[in-house]
Amino acid sequence: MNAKLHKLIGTAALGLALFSNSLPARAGLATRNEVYIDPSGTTAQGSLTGARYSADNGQYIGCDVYFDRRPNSGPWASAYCFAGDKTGRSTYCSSTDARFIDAVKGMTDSSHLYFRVSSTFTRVCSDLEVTNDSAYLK
Amino acid sequence: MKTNLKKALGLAALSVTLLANTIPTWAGFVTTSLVSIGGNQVSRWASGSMEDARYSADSRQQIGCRAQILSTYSWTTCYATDSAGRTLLCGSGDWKFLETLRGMTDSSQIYFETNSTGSSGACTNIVIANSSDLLK
Repeated sequence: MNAKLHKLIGTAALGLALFSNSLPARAGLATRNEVYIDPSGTTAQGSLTGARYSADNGQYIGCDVYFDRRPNSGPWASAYCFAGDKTGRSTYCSSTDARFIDAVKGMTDSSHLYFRVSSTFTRVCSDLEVTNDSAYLK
Repeated sequence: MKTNLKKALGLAALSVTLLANTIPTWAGFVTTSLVSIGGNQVSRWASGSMEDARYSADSRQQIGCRAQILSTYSWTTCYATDSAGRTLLCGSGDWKFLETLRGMTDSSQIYFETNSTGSSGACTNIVIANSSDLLK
């Protein structure tokens, strides 16, 4: 009887410790946008959280910024956006337009991205949308 | 009996260790900034933090901003929905607003104002605030 009581107290204390340190309860409006790439690979969209926490292990989406000041090639800056969906389709584009670079600098861990590739040959971005919205938070 | 007592003490000690060393306890100064929308006879405004909207008790609150870069123009949009379902949206082609969005994080507090008394209009003011008290 005593043994059971001790075990119970121990387990309860452990549970309390774990419970009191857990993250906030997830309520509020939430949208999980997984990665979608149109069949021609011209447009891609999705949220970073939607891709990262999707059920499959193939989805990704993101943008990078580059600055190169090497004497032989720089100075130049560019933005590079890329995505892969759950079917294995992937696409990417890049731009040296300062406006695109600025938009990528505004990304957070939960941003939703939409980008359009002007031509699948040159791979230059023609449109980019970066949305930071409470609904995309994990 | 002794073994059980030791077991219980061990579990209790483990619990205390976990309590002290896992995720930090949530102390420090904290502000709750749920989505609110207001206005007067000449303008309307909305305010709220991204995290407080996301983790609010209701499923209506939402606040955010979007930067759109198109080949011919750039556009900034900020929008909010409060717990009562009221909405406000502002938009602008002013480059300075796009620059302001660069300062956003997942915990940012957003404040924006429009010169309209309706539910949408031109942005006149966007404030992105980042502060420790807004962190979850």
